[in-house]
Amino acid sequence: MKKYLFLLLVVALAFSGCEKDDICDDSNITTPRLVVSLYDNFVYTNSGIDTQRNIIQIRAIATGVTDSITWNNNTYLTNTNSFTLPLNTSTSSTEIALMKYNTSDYKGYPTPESISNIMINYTGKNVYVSRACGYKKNFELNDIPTFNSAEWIKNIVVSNSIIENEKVTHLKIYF
Amino acid sequence: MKKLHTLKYISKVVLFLFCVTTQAQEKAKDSIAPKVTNYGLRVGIDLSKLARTFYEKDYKGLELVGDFRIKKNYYLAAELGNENKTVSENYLNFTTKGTYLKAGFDYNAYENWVGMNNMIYLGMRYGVSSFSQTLNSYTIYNTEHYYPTETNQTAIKFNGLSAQWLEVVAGIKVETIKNLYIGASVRLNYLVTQKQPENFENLYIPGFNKTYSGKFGAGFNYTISYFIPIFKKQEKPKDVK
Repeated sequence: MKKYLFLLLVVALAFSGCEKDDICDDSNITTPRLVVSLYDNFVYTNSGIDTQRNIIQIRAIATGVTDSITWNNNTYLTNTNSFTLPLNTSTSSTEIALMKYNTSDYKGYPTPESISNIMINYTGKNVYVSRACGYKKNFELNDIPTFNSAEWIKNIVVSNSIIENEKVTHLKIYF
Repeated sequence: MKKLHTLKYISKVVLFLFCVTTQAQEKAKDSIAPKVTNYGLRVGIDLSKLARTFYEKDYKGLELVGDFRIKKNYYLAAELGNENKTVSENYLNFTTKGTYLKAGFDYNAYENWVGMNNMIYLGMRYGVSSFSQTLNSYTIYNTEHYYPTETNQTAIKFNGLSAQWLEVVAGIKVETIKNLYIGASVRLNYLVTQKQPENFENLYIPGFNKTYSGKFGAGFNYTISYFIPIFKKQEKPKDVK
């Protein structure tokens, strides 16, 4: 009898101690970033055809934040035709300065060739993910982001106004 | 007369619950006749929930247990409980409050010696729970740490939640002094159905305990209970036709 009692106590204690360590792993889709693709404005205005165009070098800083946005810990992206931009989850708009460089040889933070400020307005929606991940925030763009066409960005088209993952392009930027 | 007798015992159980244990012993009938089995109601309380109420800051719980012998080795069994538990996860904090009832049977697999009434049993229960969940706070999970983290402190309450589950029980009950039992049981739970909150999840169900991603859960209890004899039954000799 005592043996059984002991066994049961051990089993019961094992159960009571099984608070598993919940970790939010990468297989969960959490708060997405805005996916931007770059297109050739000259081709588009003359023929109406979307042609992807690489930018030599780009750097981005959101208004109110001192640091640059990073992509895999790099503050610059070189020879790319797409990039992601994080949106501020605490507010309903994010203004980001997109700096275009004509050369990738610069060391440090040189003066960019042109800076376009884009203003993105959106509505956030907190969506439950899981015990370990808690909530994520999805976004819906309220309108076409505004920009100053005197700078390098000439046109912006919204291709997906709902931002739920990073698999599709949300904004097309023509330059 | 019999009713009065039963009432007397019930009042004694109440007294017992307030720690007057010696009183209950006085009039206990001794079972001399070897072939006579006592039938009656056993009522008790889960000590583990009571203890956790005192030493766990984020937990309040009470569980009353009872069983009624219907055959030599079969008992109708039930647990009635109430829990209030606050859980803090990495990205959210919530409180579950609610009441549950589990009903089923126990089968005593232990062959007692003459005069003994111990149990090593297996049983099943069907559990129902009605509860609410309050999301006290949560943080938006973001792999991007460019902006300050957003934490929401406004509590959101989800009322009218419910769950039903099946439970397999294994346990023991030992008679320590006449009619007084201590017991322990472990339970494996299988969630049958549940009403989930919108844009949240039943992360803890009173009676069922923590829900894991699947449908299984686990639980245990340590009980102290008192047996109220109601009637005696003569066992039929096996060899006589």
